Amino acid sequence: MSVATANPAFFRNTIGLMRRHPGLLFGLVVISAMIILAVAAPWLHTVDPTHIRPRMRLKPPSSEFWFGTDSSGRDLWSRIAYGSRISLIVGAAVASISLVIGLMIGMIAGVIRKLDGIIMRVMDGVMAIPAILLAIMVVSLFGAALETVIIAITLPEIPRVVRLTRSVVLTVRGEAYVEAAISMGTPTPILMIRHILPNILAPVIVQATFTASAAILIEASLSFLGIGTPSEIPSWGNIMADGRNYFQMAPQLIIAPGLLVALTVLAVNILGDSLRDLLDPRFARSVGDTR
Amino acid sequence: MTDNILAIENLAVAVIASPYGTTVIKDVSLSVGRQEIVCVVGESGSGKSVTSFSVMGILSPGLAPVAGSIKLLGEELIGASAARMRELRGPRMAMIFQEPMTALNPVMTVGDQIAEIFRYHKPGMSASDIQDRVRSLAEDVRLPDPVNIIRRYPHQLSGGQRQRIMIAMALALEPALLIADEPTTALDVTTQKQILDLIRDLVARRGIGVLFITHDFGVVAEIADRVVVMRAGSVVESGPAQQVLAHPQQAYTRSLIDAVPGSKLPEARKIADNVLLRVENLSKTYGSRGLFSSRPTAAPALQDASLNLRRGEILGIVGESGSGKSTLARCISRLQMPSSGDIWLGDTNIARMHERKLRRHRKSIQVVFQDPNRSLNPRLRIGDALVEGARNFGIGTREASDKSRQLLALVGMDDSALTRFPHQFSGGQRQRICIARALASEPDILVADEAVSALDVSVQAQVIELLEDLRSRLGLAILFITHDLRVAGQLCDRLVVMQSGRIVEQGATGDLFNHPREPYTRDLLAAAPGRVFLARAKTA
Amino acid sequence: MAYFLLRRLMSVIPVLVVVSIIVFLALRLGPGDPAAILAGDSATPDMIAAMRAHLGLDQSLPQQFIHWVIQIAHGDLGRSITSNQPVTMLVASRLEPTLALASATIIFSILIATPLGVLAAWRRGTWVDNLASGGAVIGFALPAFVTGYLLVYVFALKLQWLPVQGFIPLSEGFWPFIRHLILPTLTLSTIYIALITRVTRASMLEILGEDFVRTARAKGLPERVVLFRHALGNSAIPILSVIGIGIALLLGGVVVTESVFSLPGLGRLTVEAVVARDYPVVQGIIILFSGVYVLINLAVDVSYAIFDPRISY
Repeated sequence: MSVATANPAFFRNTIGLMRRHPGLLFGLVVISAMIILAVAAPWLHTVDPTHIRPRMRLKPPSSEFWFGTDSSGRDLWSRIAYGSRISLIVGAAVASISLVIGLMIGMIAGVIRKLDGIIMRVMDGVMAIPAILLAIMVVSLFGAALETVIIAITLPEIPRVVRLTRSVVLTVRGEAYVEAAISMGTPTPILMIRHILPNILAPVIVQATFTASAAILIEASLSFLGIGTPSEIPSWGNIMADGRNYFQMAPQLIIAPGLLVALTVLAVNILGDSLRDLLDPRFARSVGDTR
Repeated sequence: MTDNILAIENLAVAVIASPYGTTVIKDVSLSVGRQEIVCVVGESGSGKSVTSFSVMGILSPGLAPVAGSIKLLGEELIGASAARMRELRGPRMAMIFQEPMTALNPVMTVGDQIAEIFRYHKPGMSASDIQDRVRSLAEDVRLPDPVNIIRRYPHQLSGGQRQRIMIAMALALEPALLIADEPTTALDVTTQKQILDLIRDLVARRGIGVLFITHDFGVVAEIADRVVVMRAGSVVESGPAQQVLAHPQQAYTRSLIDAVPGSKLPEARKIADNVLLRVENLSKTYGSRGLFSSRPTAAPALQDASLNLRRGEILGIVGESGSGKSTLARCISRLQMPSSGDIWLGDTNIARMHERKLRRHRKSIQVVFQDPNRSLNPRLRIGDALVEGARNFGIGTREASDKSRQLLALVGMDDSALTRFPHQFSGGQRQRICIARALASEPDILVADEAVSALDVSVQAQVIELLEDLRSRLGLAILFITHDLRVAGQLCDRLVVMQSGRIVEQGATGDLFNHPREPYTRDLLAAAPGRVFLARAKTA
Repeated sequence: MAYFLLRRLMSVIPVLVVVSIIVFLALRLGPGDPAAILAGDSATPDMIAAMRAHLGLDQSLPQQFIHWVIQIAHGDLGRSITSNQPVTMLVASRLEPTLALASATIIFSILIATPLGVLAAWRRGTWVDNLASGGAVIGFALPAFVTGYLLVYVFALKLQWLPVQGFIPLSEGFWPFIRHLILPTLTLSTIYIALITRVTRASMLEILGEDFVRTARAKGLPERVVLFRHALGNSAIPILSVIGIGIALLLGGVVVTESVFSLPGLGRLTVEAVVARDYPVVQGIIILFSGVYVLINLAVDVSYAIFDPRISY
């Protein structure tokens, strides 16, 4: 009964939300489509993406090979479909690892003032190295493997989360409700979990979406440069790296995966923007509130 | 009338962005004559600022006049082109705002900000003529050392000096109409008096008309020739100031006038000599630490403060901004650690006690903060917020939640609040909840740090009543920090007057009001707006 | 003033120390013996031991670190493994394309993005704003390789207006130099323009809601003065700071863009060095880029005081 009555209202609210934030809808639809593509790749008119057919090199799109074939005669559509897995895994993994680690370090820096100075100096140092270069250095030292790539991309993203977390913690710490809790004798761990964490989560989660899109972009760049995900794994960046020498003959080898990277990054960014508008009241000032 | 500078007739303003066409103000009519000060009074949301912004043509995007007329020196302003409005702003009408700090551009010198008015309205004027005019304007508004002060940036001036600069800017092109939107609300009371005097003086000397927006009937009594009372977007009552103040026709006006604090002094009550809190020689200096810091340390924010607080007593701490009253309150409630001195709570000195040990003693002193919007955790239901204090001191969940119901009843709210979030309540209700939360740990002492300053007068009066009620019912001792001498006079048994980090004078409220010993206390009393009028009301 | 500069300069030191520790440790603690790597694939154990002594690897880590930092301070970034040239000379020989590309991008981006952001904020909610903000969101999502190849496809392959790739030094003629620089600059600028436009628009929107903007309008000032003098003047600091922070993004983008257009700059050198496992070169470039980033942000910080009198020395 209660479920039956609650559901229409829930749907109405959801539809209303989507109408007010079309970006949210766009982001969710595109990302869902990418996830479906990644999960259902084997059933979507694909063949083994690594199967080499020397006689079928650089064929134009046809009913058999929707997007044509690459320089080794591999089916481009199959490679793109399977390649979406790498982008999504890297984006999700980097975002969640850097979120958890960054949140912990950032809260420590924001609450334990003695450690603040040293933590922030280290973070400044890591941030001074351009993200792609730091990732290149790590990959080149530890060898190309998916795990290495994820770690290499996570490393430069952590300081950004730490900085944001710390600054929000410092703002929240000055709020009167935190002081009220202190004067009520609330112990520090409870203070952090009850009063500080819930009030800093929104901006940090928004930041995590931007981290995910940056990670997808960096992975594609590294692979494109030939120093990212191992070349035998089909990833969007690897497909482009392979197509670089044949750009004049078969531009789709670069354009198709490239536009998919762009579309995914765009969707994740727009989702992040909408989430921020939704969660952060500072950005949602209504019109005509001055009196 | 031909000598009206401003005539507003049946003005209505609506939210044009909204499909419902919500009206913000409607049927507003008023006029301002030469050499006349017309006060528009109302609580927040009454539409008084929207009225003044409509005249200037600087309504927020989304708002627009939908009916009525605004005539400035006979010229219709509604429907006037943006270019024409721009020509009128400055030479014909000008405006000053509530917060002079944010109303001035922080990255331009104040002199430049005055000078650019001439630069764009009088392109023919030479640079040296402009400089002369700027200097003489600074003299006109009685700024000290005008030659140097106009080379400074806003942050280098005091609040009163900044408001004087705003007035100089407004008067630069000798407009006929000056609109003043709560121009003294953000200022200290002694500065407020000086600015009010200056405005009155300029009206007399230059014959301008002033539309003065305020929420404070005390200010009205000081300055108004005529009064327009607004409520929820409409004019409730208007007429000559003396008449409206002495014989208000509407119950609403009456209630606003009655709510002005300080209409009555409390009767001296007998309080048992049961000292709960003894503060001795308390000092606080904010040190600037750091490896490379060689800046001279700042003047102490609090110096040698000593006071006693007895059970059932309300002790007021009064002072202007920077007087150290808040530092004193924060040190006593140990949100800050004092640099030296003692805070005796019974026979324990908590002045420099370590946080871990202090936690046990925190239940005796609880704080209510100024801004009710920020003192409740936005993500915690009221019920959860209310049990926190009790739970911290080892009371069981069930008992704590029973208690929070009683607390809500005590502050005049019902159980339905328990499951709601702070944003679902009004400012006054939130302040009640904050008081209930503070009482959860059954404290002996309540520190109210400007706890009623952010509230509208009528709500303010209710919260003051609540505090009085709690004191008599629970025998609570209250440390009441305020900048408003009138509020303090109405509520407190004894007063402590502070200036620049020191206690200047303390004594029973009646004695202090009737026979102030220190010149500073006398200045404060003289500056409290509407004192003369209120004194007369008291005898009447 | 001198005191402030000194203090600000001092604050750079810990950052540089952390950078050098990271770079140093990455090589020393990474898997594989640096001596074996440096000695090459066909080295005998004796040769590796000799290399170890030669590199000072038999010393303790802190000793090695201090030795290494002193070398860097003397401008010695070591020698390339593959070409045996000093890293500094290699870097110098590849500096021009990168310098040209980066400075052209910064200038072009600021000239386009700042007015665009101001316009979008001023005309909030109109088609101008939607176009600028939407363009910024899309531009921010476009990877350099996509923009680059699309531009090449249209302007070089189809229209044949501009060269497909390559670089002509300035010394060999101004126009050829510029012609070869146009597409790479456009490519690298996309993300940078998007970034600056977004920040300019956001901070202008915030400033336009401030009281002093209302005061400026109440004074009857022309809209252009309100917008550029009062509002933009107060938005300078967030804009400058994003320009400074964006340098990291820009330097990263250089690596990809140079690869797309085969510019023989530092970005290409990095990729070549990584592929050849030429660690001293990789190290040298990272230290150089980080140093540039730190110095530019130092300059940005110091310039705040020009725009905001509240920041005092």
